[in-house]
Amino acid sequence: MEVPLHLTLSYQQKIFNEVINEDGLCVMAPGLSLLQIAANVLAYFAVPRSLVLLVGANSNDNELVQRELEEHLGKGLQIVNTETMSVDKREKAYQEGGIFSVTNRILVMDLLTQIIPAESITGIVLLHADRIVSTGTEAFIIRLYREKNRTGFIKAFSDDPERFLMGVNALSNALRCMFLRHVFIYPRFHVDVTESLEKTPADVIELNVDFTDSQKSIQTCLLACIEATVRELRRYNSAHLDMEEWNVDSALHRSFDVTIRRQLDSVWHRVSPKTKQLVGDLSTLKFLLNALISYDCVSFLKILDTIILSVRTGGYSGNAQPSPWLMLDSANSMIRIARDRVYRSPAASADEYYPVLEEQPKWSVLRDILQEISHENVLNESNDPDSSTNSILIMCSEERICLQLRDYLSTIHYDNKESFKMMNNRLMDYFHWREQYRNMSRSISKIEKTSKEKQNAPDVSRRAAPASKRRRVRGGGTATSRSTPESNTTSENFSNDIRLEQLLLSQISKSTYTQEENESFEVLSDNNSIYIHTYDYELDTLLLNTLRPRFIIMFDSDPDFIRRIEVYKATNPQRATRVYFVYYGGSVEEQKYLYTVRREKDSFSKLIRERSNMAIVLTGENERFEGQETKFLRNVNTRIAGGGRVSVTSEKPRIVVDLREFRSSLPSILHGNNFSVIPCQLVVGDYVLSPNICVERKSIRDLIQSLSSGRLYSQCEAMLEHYEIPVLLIEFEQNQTFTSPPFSDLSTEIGKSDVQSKLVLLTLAFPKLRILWSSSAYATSLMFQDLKVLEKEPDPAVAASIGLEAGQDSTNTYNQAPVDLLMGLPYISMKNYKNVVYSDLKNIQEACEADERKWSELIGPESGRSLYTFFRKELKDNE
Amino acid sequence: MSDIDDEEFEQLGLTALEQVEKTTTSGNRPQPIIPQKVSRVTAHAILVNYRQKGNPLLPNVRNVPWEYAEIVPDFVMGNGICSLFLSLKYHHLHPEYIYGRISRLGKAYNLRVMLVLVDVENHQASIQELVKTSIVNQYTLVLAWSSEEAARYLETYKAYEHVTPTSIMEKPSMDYLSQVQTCLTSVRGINKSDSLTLLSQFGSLKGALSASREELEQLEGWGPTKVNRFLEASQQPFMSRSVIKNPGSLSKDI
Repeated sequence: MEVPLHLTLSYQQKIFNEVINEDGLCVMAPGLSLLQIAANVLAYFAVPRSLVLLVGANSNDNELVQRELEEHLGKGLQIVNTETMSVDKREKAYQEGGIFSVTNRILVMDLLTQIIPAESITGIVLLHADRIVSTGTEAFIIRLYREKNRTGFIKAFSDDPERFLMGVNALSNALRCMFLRHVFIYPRFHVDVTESLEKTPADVIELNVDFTDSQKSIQTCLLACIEATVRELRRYNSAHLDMEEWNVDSALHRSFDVTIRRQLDSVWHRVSPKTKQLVGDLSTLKFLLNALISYDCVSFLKILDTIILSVRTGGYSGNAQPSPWLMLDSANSMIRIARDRVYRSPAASADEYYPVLEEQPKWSVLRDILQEISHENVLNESNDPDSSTNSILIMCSEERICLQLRDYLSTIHYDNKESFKMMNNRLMDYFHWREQYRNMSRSISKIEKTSKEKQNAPDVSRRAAPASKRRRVRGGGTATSRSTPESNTTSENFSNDIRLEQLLLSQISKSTYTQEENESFEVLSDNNSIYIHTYDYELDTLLLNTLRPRFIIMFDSDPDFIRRIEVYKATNPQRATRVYFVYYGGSVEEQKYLYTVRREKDSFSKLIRERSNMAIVLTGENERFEGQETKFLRNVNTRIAGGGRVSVTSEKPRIVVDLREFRSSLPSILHGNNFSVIPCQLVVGDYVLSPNICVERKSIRDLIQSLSSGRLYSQCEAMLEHYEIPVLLIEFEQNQTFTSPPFSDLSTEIGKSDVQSKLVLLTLAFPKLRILWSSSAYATSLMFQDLKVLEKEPDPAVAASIGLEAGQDSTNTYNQAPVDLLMGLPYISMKNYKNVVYSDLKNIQEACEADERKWSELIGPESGRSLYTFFRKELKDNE
Repeated sequence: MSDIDDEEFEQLGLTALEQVEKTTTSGNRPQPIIPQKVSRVTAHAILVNYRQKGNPLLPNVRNVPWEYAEIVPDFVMGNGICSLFLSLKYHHLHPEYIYGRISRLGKAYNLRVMLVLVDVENHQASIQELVKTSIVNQYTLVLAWSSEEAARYLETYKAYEHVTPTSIMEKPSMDYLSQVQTCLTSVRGINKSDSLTLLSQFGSLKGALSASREELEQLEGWGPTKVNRFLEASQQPFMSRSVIKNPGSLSKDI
């Protein structure tokens, strides 16, 4: 049967043919219309009565693939998530066949419960194949599929070559997870790609914009802070980390903080709070670097204020140290400059302030470009659908920049200081916000003060500024002489703030224009429409094709988008297109751009080498599954030897697993170890091994958290009520060190807040609670095997009904995110949250609106009233 | 031990000794001591089996007094609370040892802790075995990675013998701001400074939770991912329609 293709460029067709002919992983440079090719592959296989699955797609991917299929290929895509289809509907739809995009979570359930018969799947197209890990959900899906279906196809796509180079043998491991052997690699520098794209180059104008002096200084300060933070990190962690690549240069790369986090992951639960704070600081500082480019000066000051407030206090407990970068002189001057960009007082008197409101340099450049365009535009005018429209597309990296530009363009005036009006509005907002901020800051200071007073009793000074006081007490000798940014910016200034605000407001009203708005941007003639959009990966292609803009202004740099323009241009050579590429020269933005481009190129070269050196996976699929079968026979044998059950059935041992647990790797590993995994919504416990044994799984982090939130206690209570042998499983990560989190201090007294102390309390409270210590999910799976030997198989229906009250339906399932948020609320406990979940309150927003009586009914009069007021409490009530 | 009244201490010691003498003279083999009687003696101290003499964890028991006594388990930390101690190194040399101890101890004592010192590299197989043993014989397994840690567990058991577990039963009481932060940061990807941004922008928790997409997108530091996650938590219904089949029909299928 002939299937219509919708791929114009020769390299696209080549990729398509290669993928169609052989199962494999296709790694492409981003921006080369991956989804379009994937959609064509889907359409090619979607003959009547076939069942083709799209796995790993996010909502953007779905949208684009759906459009591509519907508009050009005459096929439909059915999107399956919890909202769209119930079980019965899904079952029916799968039987009818077609192309489905299913969320991972549901697909696992459907495969496990046989709602999708794996045998009848024609094939799977996997997007974002770089994310696959052997214990993850995608790998689980593919395994479930391959186990029963050895003939269907698997086509995997990825546009992130870097991910296949992280760790040892990452590429061949990924291939093994997907049961694939072939890799097709298409970087931008591939001959076919270059040939297709460079025939019709777009007209590109690069505009190198300079930072203002204050921006430059802030950038320098930020880099100094980053450097200092990295230095501190090295100092504390020389044992754990490979720090070869640690320098400010690589710090600019997007994944730098992630990389550090990964390096520390294996010891994360033993890492000092100090280090955790430093890693967090790095992310914060990197974010500020970005914000310097994209935020206007008022917003920048605002976010800086918020960040300072939150890092000043360190941890929740209020007894942590403020972040070290705050102590630096650089931080101090950064805050000063950031403020000076917004308003300033003349050197002579401190009482007078006037707004400065520095503009982002790119704004005026944008204005010039638009002016230039409007001059040119008069010349050609055409209604031909094949040529470009006269529209102007401005692309930026964030939604907030879009808004910023929209504001800017709608308020600018010809010869005046253009952005003044917009900026004035922002400044007013800022001062309104300041008021809230002050309250918050005050109450934080209060907390600090009380916790301080508890600790070191009388020596608290009576000075006005609590923040500087705490520094003096804790920061030690070295910093006392320096003026600190906290005292400069936050506390001392508060007394001035109100006065200052009034001063400024009067200034602003004086300087606002007498002119009316009717003059707003007249440089543009009427037939020009300006579209402002954010980069949205694959959707950008769609955008270009719908708008057919003649002018594209890249307000922020983005290498992927350049490729998309190239592809767009090559597909539509007749359309005239001009691209303006605006960037801050010598700034972090430029460096980052160059770094990304270089990095991608390097990754592809490495990947090509890796492919040629890769150990070929000779253990074919057949062997894999045979291996499992023999293992199963062995299992049967041991069970006879155990003597518990004489009758040996061919039935696999069964474990009932709570739905939420499918986020972790254990269910997948259990399945791999030949357990039959039965997904259920469990109220009590996470895993039910037998009618007697119920297991609650906790990773170290969960353990710490749930011990202090009281959750674990209630969970144990519930398990004890319903099961003979309640088990707490403390599971470490595969690559985590198998050691408990450190005691706060072994040389002194017993610490109340130590995990160990709480664990002791828990075992004292529940002598019947058994503890299972496991060094990894693999070890857990072996332990489960041991435990099941003498026990009967669990009944999923019984397990699911345990803990439910009359009228509560076990087939409905919780949504994790809102229930987590609900549980985070004060006065909501493990016991009463179910009342809320099963009540007629639909979601959190409705819960906020519920009246006092409703809450009293749900969680009792006292808690109800408290929670009702808690929702409505305003910051200023706090005083 | 200075904080214990000398006289009382002597008395307690005497009763313990009498107890021991009685049991040793009454038969050829020492009978297991009835825990209730011992517990009266242990009011202040951890009782240590003579076997444990020379155990490097003993010098590390500093916050709680301890004394040697003729007992079946290795340590008695309180009324009905006892512990067997096992170093994995020893276990690898004498794998049968712990089973002998377990069978001698039987089901006496309400809470039996198996305190295991992980002092070897390849521990997985033995821990797996001990986990199974502890469940079959109803022991609470506790792992420690150093003698100091093991000692601290013993101390803590003794010290917390009569403490009510309120600190692990409910959410710790907090001030308003921390409560709001705990709640908002329970959404994935929302950190402390984000929660401050929310609160300062919308005034109250109710305001923050009712915020719309447009409002959230304008917040400093909020990208689309964060906005989506937050909206998912605040707007998605608590319950969704059936994701899985009725478990009743499941058990028939399988």
